[in-house]
Amino acid sequence: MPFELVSDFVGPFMRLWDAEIAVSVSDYDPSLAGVLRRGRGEEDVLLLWIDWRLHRAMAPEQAARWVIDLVAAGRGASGNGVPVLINDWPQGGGTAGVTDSWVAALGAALEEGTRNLADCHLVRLERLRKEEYPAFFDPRNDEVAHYPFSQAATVHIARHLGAQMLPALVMPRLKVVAVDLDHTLYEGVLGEDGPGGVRVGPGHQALQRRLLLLKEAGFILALCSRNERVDVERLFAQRKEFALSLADFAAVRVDWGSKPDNLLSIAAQLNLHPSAILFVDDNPAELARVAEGAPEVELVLADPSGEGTAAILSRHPGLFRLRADASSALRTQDLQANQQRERLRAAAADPAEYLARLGMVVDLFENHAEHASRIHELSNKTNQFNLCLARLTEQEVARLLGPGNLTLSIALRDALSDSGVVAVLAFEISGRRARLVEFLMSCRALGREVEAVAFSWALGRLSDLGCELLEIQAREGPRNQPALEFLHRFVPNGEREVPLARLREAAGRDVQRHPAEIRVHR
Amino acid sequence: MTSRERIAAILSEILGVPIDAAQEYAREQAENWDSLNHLRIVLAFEEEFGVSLQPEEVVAVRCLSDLERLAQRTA
Repeated sequence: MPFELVSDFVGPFMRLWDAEIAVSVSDYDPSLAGVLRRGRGEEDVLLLWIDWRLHRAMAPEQAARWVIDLVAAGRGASGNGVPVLINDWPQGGGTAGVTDSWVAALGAALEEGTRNLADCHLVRLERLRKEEYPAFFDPRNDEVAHYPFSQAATVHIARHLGAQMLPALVMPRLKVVAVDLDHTLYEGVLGEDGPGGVRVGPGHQALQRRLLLLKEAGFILALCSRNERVDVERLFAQRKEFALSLADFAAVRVDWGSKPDNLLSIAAQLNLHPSAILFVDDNPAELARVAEGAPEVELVLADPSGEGTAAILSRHPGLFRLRADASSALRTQDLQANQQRERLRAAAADPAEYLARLGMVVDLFENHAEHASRIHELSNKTNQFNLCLARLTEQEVARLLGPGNLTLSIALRDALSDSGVVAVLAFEISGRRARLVEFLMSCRALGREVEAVAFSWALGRLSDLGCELLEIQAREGPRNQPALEFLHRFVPNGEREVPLARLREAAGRDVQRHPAEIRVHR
Repeated sequence: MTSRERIAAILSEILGVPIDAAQEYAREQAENWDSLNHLRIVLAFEEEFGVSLQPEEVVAVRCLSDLERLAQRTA
């Protein structure tokens, strides 16, 4: 099945995020063996574009297993390789022998297989078919070029690849969607129409549902509006047709301050770089002010009916996640708790009293394979406290969780919230030497010295394992100063190799009075 | 721009060769007028002229003049 008709359209969607694509198409090879051999070059992504109708003689589970096994085997013993995309098949094609139940079973088997294979993701054609194009198939195109999809479906597939899947694979992701209120989440001006007078149409409800989906996918929602706070609280309390509640927003700036300043303040509150924020506002003049005052914030002009905004957010590059976010349910609550922590910190007599009052529990998980997905996620989205900037692939995470290595995933909770798994320390061990491959922590967990507690414990564990020397490959990046400053506390001279005993002593001294309860899980 | 010139421009862009609208241009003249590019030509033609061709019409297209006739029919 030719991919060229899709790739013709992928480029324009890539330009939405200032990227370009060079597509190299293999010879027609239904066995896939040659394609996978070819995929060991310099490609960023390998797509197995499969006409599943050709494999209808097999049971669907067998067909899916055949491809998954080929991908796994193609990567060989090293476990390394480029990310692989595999398409499923849409229902309703009408090919003899390819029933909808066969297609559904194939899709389920591919979902299962790709979920368990690192860096392997499904291009869900069946989901795209359901989204908006009933005429997904075109028998005429199939007759002419063995290409079964309609032109509209082709553009839809290209958009999904170029504006959703590929940016999710290769670009740093947005983390926050900040929205205005008036003429964005509803029609009307809250200050003039009042909480009961603003109008909520189907488009606004669709937009609010889209924002909730983004929150469930792991994005942080923020509110940035020039209004009276009391009006906004009444609005969310009174309007039962709102899909969103005020509690869905991890950061709220409702005042008469400037929007650029408020967006920068949201970034500071969330410990994020402003470039992690996408701001949605109906007023071009406000967007222009943000472009000048907070130029790193990404901007979207809202459609006052809400419908267009919902459509933009459903396809905006950087707002797509390849896998479900493992900690999305915890994130908003934890970020809201950070504001309470700030109040506690301000009221405490000294830092020790503040930490003691938090009642922290730190869970240290040693080589815990169930955390692989979360470790991969943290490695690829953490920018500030990220010492080595290793940007681990799922395959590298799997290797680091294997024998001969020490990888700690660190979960944190305190009296105010459960933060989930927030930090990772990964070491390769070779005899008496250990190499720090990755040390990172979610920005929302900073400020409680948990990084020092985990580091100190890890050094002790390395010592127990017979290590005497630690190699540290810290890398300076555009935003990871907090991690570099942390390391400087213990390695002020910037040495790449440090005797473990010396480091242990320094780190231990630093955390000896830390009040957290530490629980180890092996 | 006449219909014929618009069709010549489509063929030229997809096949990557200069095509003179005043001359006939047939499938046999282009090595790369294969089934994939045939479909590309048809899809671009349909978009340009806002039409939808039947399967038998698509298969019957052999040259620039065939497409011109289809464009005139739907005008």
